[in-house]
Amino acid sequence: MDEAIAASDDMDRALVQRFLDGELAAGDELVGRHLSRMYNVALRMLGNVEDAEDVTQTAFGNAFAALGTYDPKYRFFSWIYRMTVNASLNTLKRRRNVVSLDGKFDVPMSGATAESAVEAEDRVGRALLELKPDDRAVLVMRHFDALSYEEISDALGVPVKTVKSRLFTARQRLRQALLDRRA
Amino acid sequence: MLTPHQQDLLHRELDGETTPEESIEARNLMAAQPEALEFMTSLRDLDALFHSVPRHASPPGLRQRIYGDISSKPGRSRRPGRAGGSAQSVTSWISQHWDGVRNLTEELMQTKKVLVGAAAAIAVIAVIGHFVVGYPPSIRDAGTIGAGTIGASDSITGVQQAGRYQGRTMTEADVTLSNPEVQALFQDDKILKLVQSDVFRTVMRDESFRALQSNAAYQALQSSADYKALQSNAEFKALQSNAEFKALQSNADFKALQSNADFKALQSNAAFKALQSNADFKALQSNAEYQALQSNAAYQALQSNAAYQALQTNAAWQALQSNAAYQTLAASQTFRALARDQAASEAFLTQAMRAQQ
Repeated sequence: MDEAIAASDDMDRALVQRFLDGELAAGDELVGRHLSRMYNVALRMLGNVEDAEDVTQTAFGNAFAALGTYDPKYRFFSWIYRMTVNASLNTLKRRRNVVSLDGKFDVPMSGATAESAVEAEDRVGRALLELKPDDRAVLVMRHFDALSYEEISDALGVPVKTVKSRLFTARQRLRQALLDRRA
Repeated sequence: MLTPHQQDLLHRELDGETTPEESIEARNLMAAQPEALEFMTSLRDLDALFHSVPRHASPPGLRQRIYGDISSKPGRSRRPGRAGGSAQSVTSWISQHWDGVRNLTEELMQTKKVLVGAAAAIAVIAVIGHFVVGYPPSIRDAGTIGAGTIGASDSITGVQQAGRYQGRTMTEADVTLSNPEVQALFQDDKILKLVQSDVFRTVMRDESFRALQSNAAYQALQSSADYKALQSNAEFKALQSNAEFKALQSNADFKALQSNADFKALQSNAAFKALQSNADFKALQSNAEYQALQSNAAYQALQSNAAYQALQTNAAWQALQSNAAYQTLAASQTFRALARDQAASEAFLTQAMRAQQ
């Protein structure tokens, strides 16, 4: 593992311990270190700012409520990531339908963002929402967060072999969705 | 028609999940079969499209609400309008906003004009802290002492002022020498010398540098062992200062190739031909670290990033890349966080100039 990542994981573990020892600010620092990434995962999964905000808050709430059961031999990042993905999938299940197409992609663009980035966000966001939640999850984890097959497997609780087949199929479906939208 | 095995191989090559032998097999496949190259190109385009999507800042107040959740009973501080919850106890308020209040007092202390106000604020907080929750608030007592309530938090100026430090915008107050991580950076003579240099100050004030700090692919690349090794590689350094290579970097055909792998088009490019006969470039091509980097998805995405392309032609940026102190600085999470923000960058540079070597 890369030294920088290992050092970052050690910092997480230290913060978890300090929080469990009663230092409230350590919990806040831990949240700050991972908030942006978890929020963006939820945003990509759900395509909706309000839901992403709720899911992120729920995931961190659940994680800290169960922090006493956290095993430091595993990465804290993987732990909170799994909770965020699961909370996103649960929200999607509650919606019952795979939301797609017209007007359901609701991510406001920053005024400072380049036009090409805005266009890419819109294209990818809408195409992703046409996919099944499981397909969407592997694509988000692999392409937005550069997780390895092993890390995706851990986060979703499925074998690496399933991750690969799901990812490869999801890519084909996304490519097709992008082509269809362009047509 | 590609077989399922071949498709599987190319997917894994894109993801960096192949063994060295498999990677060679994938490259041979692409060289031998145009269909394989086309397939891989489409996968890379897809990956590049994802990487061009900007990362969003978390909404203002979200961190504060999560902090409220973890420092008191779960669900106590939901987002207004969605899950309700308005009144908070004094102890909960103090616990949730303690860091914000501390930041606020630090800022107040920096301004002599409001020193009296700061002293008063500290005194009030100290009294509340002493009589109501004790000092400092801890996880064990948070939310356990009922001590009356205050009305809607929006009506309290202190909450509003403290709350802004929970947001994304950083100010000089956040980059003070009292910040242990910034202090640690400045205690490194090489880093301090670097951040006080004209070349560094020019780059840090560059808009594309800040844009790059928010780029997920760039962040991934910065922590890549391959990338770090490459930056220290003598041959790569030689290449970076090679005039023909620089010309190639700003060549439109070469840029197009970086994103679509249209190798045939490149073959007819004069700058590329010149590069092919360049001894440094030849050495680099056979460099294992360089080869690993070329197949790194994050690196490929970064190559098509407009901000990155702009920086590549910036002379000051080129000088920085091979600087060991900069490499250490760039690996600092604190530096990367503040470098994304113009105000924080300016504050950092100001603090650096004040620091003593």
